[in-house]
Order: sequence, then structure tokens, then C-alpha cells
Amino acid sequence: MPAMSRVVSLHIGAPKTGTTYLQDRLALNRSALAEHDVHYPLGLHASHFRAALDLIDMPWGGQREEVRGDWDALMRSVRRHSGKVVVSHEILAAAQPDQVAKAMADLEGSEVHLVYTARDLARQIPADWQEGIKHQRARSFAKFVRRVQNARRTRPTLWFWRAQGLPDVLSRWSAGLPPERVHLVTVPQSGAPHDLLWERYCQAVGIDPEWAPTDSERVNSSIGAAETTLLRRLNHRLRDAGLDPADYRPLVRERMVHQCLALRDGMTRATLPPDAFGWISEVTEEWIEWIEGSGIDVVGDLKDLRPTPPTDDEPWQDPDRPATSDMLDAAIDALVAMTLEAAHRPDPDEQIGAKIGRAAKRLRGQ
Amino acid sequence: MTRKLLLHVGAPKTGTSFVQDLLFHNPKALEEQGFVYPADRFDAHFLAALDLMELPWGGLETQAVGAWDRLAEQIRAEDRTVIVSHEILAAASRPQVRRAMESFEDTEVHLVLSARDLVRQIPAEWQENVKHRRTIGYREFLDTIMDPERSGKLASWFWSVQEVPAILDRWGESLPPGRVHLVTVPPPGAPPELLWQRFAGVLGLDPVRFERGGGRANPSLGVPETALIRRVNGRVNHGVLGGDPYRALVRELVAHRTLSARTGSARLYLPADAQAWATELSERWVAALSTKGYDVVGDLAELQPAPTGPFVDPDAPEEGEVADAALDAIVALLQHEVDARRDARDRERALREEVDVLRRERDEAWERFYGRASYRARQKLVRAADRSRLMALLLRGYRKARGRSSRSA
Amino acid sequence: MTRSVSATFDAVAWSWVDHLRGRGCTPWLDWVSRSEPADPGASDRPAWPLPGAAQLETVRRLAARPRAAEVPFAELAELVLHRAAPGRGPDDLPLLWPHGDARDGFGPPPVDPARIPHSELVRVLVGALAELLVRTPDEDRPAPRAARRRRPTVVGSPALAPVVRAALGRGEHAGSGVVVLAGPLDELLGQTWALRMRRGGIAPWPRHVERCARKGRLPRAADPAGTSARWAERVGAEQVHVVVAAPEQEYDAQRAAADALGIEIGDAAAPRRRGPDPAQAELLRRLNQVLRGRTSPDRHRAMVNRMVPLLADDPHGHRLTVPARHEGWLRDVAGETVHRLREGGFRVHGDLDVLLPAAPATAGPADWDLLDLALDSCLAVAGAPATAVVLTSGGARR
Repeated sequence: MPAMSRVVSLHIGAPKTGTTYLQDRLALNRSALAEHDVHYPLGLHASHFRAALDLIDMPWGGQREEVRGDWDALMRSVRRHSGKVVVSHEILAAAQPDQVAKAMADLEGSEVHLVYTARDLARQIPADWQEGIKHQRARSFAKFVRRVQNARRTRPTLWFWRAQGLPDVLSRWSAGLPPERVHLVTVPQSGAPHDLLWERYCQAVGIDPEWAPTDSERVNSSIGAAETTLLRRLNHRLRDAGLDPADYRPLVRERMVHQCLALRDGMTRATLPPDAFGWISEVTEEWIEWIEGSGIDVVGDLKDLRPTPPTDDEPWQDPDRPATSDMLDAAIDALVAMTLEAAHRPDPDEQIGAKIGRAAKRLRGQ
Repeated sequence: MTRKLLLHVGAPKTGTSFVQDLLFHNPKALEEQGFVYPADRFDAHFLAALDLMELPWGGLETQAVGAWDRLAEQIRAEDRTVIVSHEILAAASRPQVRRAMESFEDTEVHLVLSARDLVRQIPAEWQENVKHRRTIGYREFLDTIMDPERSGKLASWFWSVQEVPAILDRWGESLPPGRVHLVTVPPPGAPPELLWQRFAGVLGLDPVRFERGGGRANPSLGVPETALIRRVNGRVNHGVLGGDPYRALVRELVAHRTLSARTGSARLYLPADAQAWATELSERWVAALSTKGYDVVGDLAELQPAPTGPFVDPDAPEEGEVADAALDAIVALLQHEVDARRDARDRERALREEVDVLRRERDEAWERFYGRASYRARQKLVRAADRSRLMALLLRGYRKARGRSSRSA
Repeated sequence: MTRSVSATFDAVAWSWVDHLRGRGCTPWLDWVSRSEPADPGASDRPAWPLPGAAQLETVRRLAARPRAAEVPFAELAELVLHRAAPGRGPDDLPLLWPHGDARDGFGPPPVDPARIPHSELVRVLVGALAELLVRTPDEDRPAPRAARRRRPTVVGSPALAPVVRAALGRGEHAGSGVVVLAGPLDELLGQTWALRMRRGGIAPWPRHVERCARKGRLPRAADPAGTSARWAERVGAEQVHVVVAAPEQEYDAQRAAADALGIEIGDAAAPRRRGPDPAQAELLRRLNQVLRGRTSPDRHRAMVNRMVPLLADDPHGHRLTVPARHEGWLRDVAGETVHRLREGGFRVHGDLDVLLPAAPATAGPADWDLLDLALDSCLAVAGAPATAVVLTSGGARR
């Protein structure tokens, strides 16, 4: 077998940079891409989340045990392909050096390319706070921002910087790779054409955007400040009530947040307090300097990484203190959604009838 | 000896369920004192009342066919003193009262009405409306009942069960005033036994020989909690949520089991204008009632509104408090849903195991008995037997599921 | 109030009651102004209290209808006067006395009977109708079942299906096709509601629509696309004939159905449409609500069967349209239905765009004026031989 017959694009994050959309578009166009010898090996799962979690070895609400062996399985399936193979999950960004070393060893014999999508910190910090709340955390925005600001950014321990600290992530992952195989994709600022991110991503992966014509409608939808604060308060109580994370996922995150709260009209986004723009701008300039010095391949525009400072005409609204009427409206929406969920649960009698019917069919050998 | 009937006709929200519960759970104590409460459940006379008054009640009326005549027949056949009690009887109109009285024939009828002051009754009635998925605001409700025209179903119903002098006038028309007993509900803070003692006094019962049956209470809600239910009604009415899930989830789980357990919320009272109006009206009631010669148990002065806590408007509640109540409700619903899902999974698993066991047994049995038959013949037998066993299995699973879901509902 | 005010009032009021019993129809206030201030001592006051104003006014309105002469009126009046109206609403309304308040200040305020809302009089009439039906013994007539002959299958529109089925039955049936009668979906939905009322239902029209919208599906008879698809599975799509017709087009519908199946049915006029129209259905609904609490389901059914042919015509021609909040839903369903009918490979006869619903309702059955319909229906029932016998044989009191 000739060496280097396989190119692996390892898309490692960052979280909240449109990765859900990109992964879904890859998945939707899997067969079309395969005709061009581009492979996105999913197996039985919807994404590479399980494999990535296996590699980074974090508890993740009790899911760690369920995913044992999934990384190795993914690697086996990568090695079965020739041509171009895409591996993508945003939590890979948080991998420790030894985990990176294992991944690289597993891909020995392939031409590995790193892809990292990045977005400005003014959007990333509130987004990550919200994501944490959706994973049953209960920290206030102010406290979260303070922690992010005060935490160590080199060899970070805080999740935020492990996944979002651009120089740190790329240094950790690129050991031994020539800089031209490290591709940084900047996420366009809001208002850019819909397909721009996809085009940049394709360029970084080295495929023609036209090879994946089916568009995805999936986004990891976001909620507003009132909704997030509502959820944060709910998390407090659910912690007291002892709700199992396995129940939190389908009922709260899926049914209440994604299928109800995320669809509300006129939400107010959580934004950084104006006084935070000073230090995030400093951090951003350090990053840009690092990028320019590193010689990695930049797809897009480094200007995209610079935060848009707040304008004076709109006063900042503290996400921890949303208008109570907004929060009440959201609470009633959520309450109604949960009532309907409980009301529309399939009748256990019917369900059981169907189960027995199936069991009986097997008994008859049909 | 003349046959006697003690007819307790209301009013709603005056401790009637408490009395019915005691009567129902102490048949022996009643028997020993020569009384009978002819009921197979604590509120058994509800159906008879629906029948007498031709009231539709969410489908229950179909079980009420002929219920009044059956009750009257029972009364006429008794030689003990019969107690009949239901609070909606207060609403009976004159022709209905006449029919009822005629049906008792020569029984000596004693009428009992328990009454509470309007300042406690009015908020309670509005809450009851809200818990029956109405969206009417408190102010609109007050304006409706304060309107002297009393037009519309809401106002006419309210007054038909709450206007003490008119109720006694209708029901007492054919009775000597001494057989009309008005029991006043003690003011808040009085010992809970006091009401029962007053009742027992009218009925001529020894109150200490009765034990509580652990019956239900109909707890009241605070201001933000009521406001919350009302807003939820606005969102789930008009076909969004069916009647059964509304009763089970919104009224029972959320209102009765979750929100009424919240402490510290403002209680609901009357705004100043309504308080003044209710006070004036109560004075007229008391003046009129004191001239009638009725047997008053307690004190007419207890029908005069007492001063209350500050009025907190449920139409413009503290929104943060409502949101807080909503969070409690969401938590309760989530826990309910989690339990229900777990329960369904357990049931499924149990049934699956049952199927497996049966299959094993069958295989072994056929191996033993038909091991020598040809393959085709064996298949045929297996199928035939499966069908009959399948029926038994389905039936069993169904009964099991039914039994459990009716218990958990 | 003074004793003499009360006594005068009683005398005038009871004289009006007598006037009404004798089929008089002078309104109360006219009666008061015409009356001589009577001698209080002369009033012959019965042992029971004066009937409520709504009952009295109902009797007066009954007396004013032409059919009143054909029934045992005094007995009917007696029944109405001594019966409370069923369900919730104001009761025991006192008569307005222009010469001072004749009451003690409690209970509902006095009213001018002529101004009582019609809906309240209808409530009284529904109670009287129920009483008349309950008191009349059931006829035990065995259902006359004609020998079943092989007829083509006709399904869909509850209003048209019996008419078309009968018409096709007259002809020689050759093929094996199925006729699905389709029409404007709001009309079909209304017909399924009316049919349910005909069978003892009690759901108000808006709730019927709500339920369908919540379940996201139409009742079978109002779902031409679903019905056609089900039949197509059994007989093949090319054997399913979708005939589009508005409910009043009985003749066109039977012609189109006959042509579709190739059946010769001659040129006979279509029979009158059967089944209650919307206002009749609403009256039945209110009656069902009372009857289901008064009698067994079997007797209830028999009573409705007895009632339906006696229902008077609705002079207002009320029509059902879908409540505004569900208009969007029905419009979507209609669009989808048209699409499925077009693409399903069925044989479509007529213009499918007819299926789209009309504009939404401004007022539903709850607001309709059913008074004339209820008055005449009540007189029709009271005048029916079996009921009249019960009334005159002394059954006016329980």
C-alpha cells in the first residue's frame, strides 16, 4: 500500500462556531461526497461526539462509561478509507497533550490536517455560558465572565480556555505538523452571506463546496438572556430535586430549550458588559500576533476575530437581570410545553399493546 | 315517631367536604346515635343534586339519571334520621325546591345552611373559576358579581349559591323558621373542631365520637399562584390541552399538589371598593336574617367581614413571584414526567420478561410432547396455540396496565 | 314594601298567569297598565309562589304562535310554568312592578319579561321539550327494514350521501366503483357535527372544530382525501370516484355520481335533504345535554329519533363557519386535501377548488337566535298525538 494515500481533516472546534451546521451538512451529503472520495464516517451515530468524548475522557453527565472504545472504533473506520476523511467534533479542542499524541499515533500513516473554526470572544463568552447552562450548570453570567477573565490561558484548566484559547489549542494539537497543514477558519461577522462559512470550511478541508449541495437547517440554536437566566434558576431547583442528567437531556435540553424556548420571538441576546471589551481586545491582539507569527493557513479574515465594541446608543442589559416580564413569559411558555409533553406522552396501554404484539409476532416466528 | 331529615344544602367553600368526610367515615357512630348518612362515597349526594337541578357537569350527569328519586325513596324508607348533604343544592330554584320537598312526603325536614362572610367567599369563588380553566380577571369577576343586574351564567350561579337570605328563603319557604338552621363558619384562627361542633349541635350528634377519614382538602392558592394558573389557561384553552390532562396536570398536579403547598405568597382579599360594598351588603343580610326567626348556630356577627391583610392585585401581580411559582410548577411537571417514563419502562420490561418466560415454557412443552411429529405439523400446532395464548397474554398485559394507570392517574 | 303593594302585585300577576294559560298573549307591562287596581282581598293566590318571569314570557310567546291552537295549551302552559330551566343561568326572575319594588331586596332583580334575552327563553323551552319527551312513552315499533339490495358504495358528505345512495339504488348497478362525496370542508365539518348532535352529542360547534384541529385530522365523513385513499387500497384508485358538490346541490350530486358509475337513474327530482340543519342541530345539542341526565342512552336515542321529524324550520337560515382561530388550520388541511385528491389517481368529477372553506365565522351557534325554532318545535312535540294524550290525561304535574 503506497504511503500517504489518505488525507485526514481533523476538525477540532471550537465549540459554538457553527460546528453543528457544518457537521450536519457533511452528514446530509455523505453519499454525494463519497463519490468524490471524501468520507465522513458516522457508523450508527449522528456525529463524532461519542468518539471525541472517549478521547478527551471527561465525565460529561455520566456519559463517559457509555462511550468507551468509540474513539478506537472511529479510528478503525477512518483507516478503512482512502482518499479524504473528515473527523469533526468541537470538544476535541479540549484534548490534553497525551490524548493528542494518542490521536496522532492512531492516524500514523495518514496526512493529517487540522481545522479549527474560530469566532470573536465577544460572541464566544456569552455563548459558552449559555451552553453550560444548557448542560445543567447554574453559574451567573457575571461570575462566569469573571472566571474566564481571571483564569490561566496557557496550559489552561478552565474548560472555556481549553476549547477556546486559540494559540493554546493549536499549539497543543499541531505538535509535529508543518504549519501549512494547520487551517484556521474565521467565522464571518453577523450579516455575512449564509454560505460564506461553508465555503471557507470547504477551502480548509480541501473540497469543492458544490460537492455537498444539500443545505442543513440545523443550528445549535441559541436562547436569549431571559430564557437563559430562567433555565439557570430552574437548574438550581432541579439540582435540589435530584433530577438525573439522563432525564435532563431529553426533557429539559431537547423538549424545553430546543423545541420551545429557542423558538421564541424577540429574544434579547446576552452580551458582554462594556468594561470587558478592554481585556478581550488585548487577548485578541495577542492571538492575531501569534497567528501571524506561526505561519498557519488562515482561511477568511483575521479581522473577523476582533470583537465589535458596543455602541453608545444602546445601553447594556445585564443578562443576570432580565426584565421579569420577559422571564415570566418564557417561564409560562416552558410550563405549557412541559404540560403538553406530559399530556401527549403516548398512552402506556397502547405502547404496551404494541410491544406485546411485536413479541407475539416473534413467538409465531413471523 | 316522625321520620326526620337533616338537609344540608351548602354553601360551597364553607367546610362542607369536611363535614361530608366525617359523616361518611363514621357510619357506626351515626348508627349508634340513630342517624344514617346514606352514601357510598363521601360526596354521594352530588349526583342526586345534579339530577334534581338538571345540571350538566362534565359528563357526570349521565350517572345521575334518576338519582334524586332513588335518594328520596331511601329517605322515605328509613326509620332513622337521615342526613343529606351537598353544597350545590344551595342553587336549587323554587320549582326544584318544591319538587324536592314533595318527594320527602311527610318527613320532618330540617334545613341546614353553613355560611361564611363574603370577604372569604368571593376570592375563593374566583379561584375556583380559574382552576376550572376560566381566564376572567379578578376585577372583571368582581364587577360581574357586583353588577345588580346579575346577568349571565357566572353572576347568576355565584348568587344562587352564595346569597344566604335568598337561599334560606327558597329552601325555607314551606318550613317553620325553627327548622331552618343557619350555621356560621368561625373566623380564621378559630380551632378547626369548632365548625364540626356547631354542625354536630344542629344534627344532634355527639361530636367527639367522630374520626376524620383523611379526606381531601380543597386548598386555596396565593395571589401569584392564581395569576399563574390564569395565564396558563389563556395558553392551553381552545383545543390546545384536552379536559382530562388539564384536570390531572394543571388542576391536580400543579394547582393542588404543587402551588397550594407554597408558603409565603400573598393571600387574596378584596380591593377597598369591593370590601366596602361587601361590608354594606353583609349588614343588610344580617339585619334581614335576624328578623326571620331562624335557628342561628354560631353568631350572625361572623357573617360581617373582618379586617383583612393588604390587598394584592392578582391582575397585576409581582411578575418575579409568578415566574418563581412557574419554576416550581415546571419542576413538578418534570418530576412527574420522569416518573411516568420510568414507570412505563418498568412495565415494558416486566411484560417482556413475561413473554420470554412463556416462550421458553412453550418451547419446552412442545419439545416434550411433539418432539417426534413432523416439522410441518409442529409448526401448525405452535401457531394455533400461540394465538390462544396470545389472547390471554394481551388481556393480562392490558389489565395490568389499566390497573396501574388508573392508580397513578 | 307595603302589604298593599304586594297584594296588588300578586293580584295582577296571578290574573296575568290566568290570561296566559288561556292562550292570551298580552305583554306583562301592557297587562299591568290595563288592569284595574284590584281589591287586595279578592286575589285568589295559589299555595305556590308565582312562576319565574322567563317561564311566564315563554308561555306568552308560545301562545302567540299560530300552532298554539293545535295543542292542549293550558296543560302545556302548566308544564312550562312549574318547571325550572335546566342548567345554569338566572332563575326565579321576579316580574318588574312599575308601582314600586314588590320584593324584600334579595334574589335577582325584577325584569320586564318582554326584555328577557331569547337565549333564556330557549333554555326554558329546552327543559319543557325534554320533559315532554321523557313523559311520552316510547312507541314500540320495530324498525322497518327494507330488504337490502346491492347498492353502489357511497361515502363522504353526511348530508348528500343518503340522497345519492337512494338515487343510485333506483338504477341498475353495473360497475363496482365507489363514490366519495366531497364538498367545502367547513360545510362537511359542520355536517359531521350536526350528525353527532343527531346521535345525542353535546360538544358545541367550536369544540368540535377544536378537537379536530388538536388531533390534526378530520372526521372520516369530512375527509374525502383519507376516505378515497382507504377505498383505493381496497378497490384501486381508478375505481374511486370523487364527486364534488355543495350540500344544496343534491340533484347535481346524484347526476354526477350516476354518470360516474354509468348508472341510469332517470330524471327524478332529488328528495329533500335529510338530517338537521345547523340551527336544528344546535337546539338538539342543548336538548341532548338535558336528556342525557334524564334518561338512559337507549331512550335518549329513541327520543331524539322522535324529535327530529318534529323540528321546526330555522327561519334565519343560520350557517356554520369555522371559528376564526382555526381558519388557518382548515385552510391548510383543505389545501393538502385538494393536493392529495389531485395526485391520488382517483377519478375526480367537479372542481376541487370548491373544497376550500368560506370566510371564518363572525357568530357561532352559541349566539344564534333559536327562539322561533324552539317555540315551534315545542308546539310540534306537544301537539304530537302520543304527547298530547299524556298532557291531557293529567300528567302536567309530576
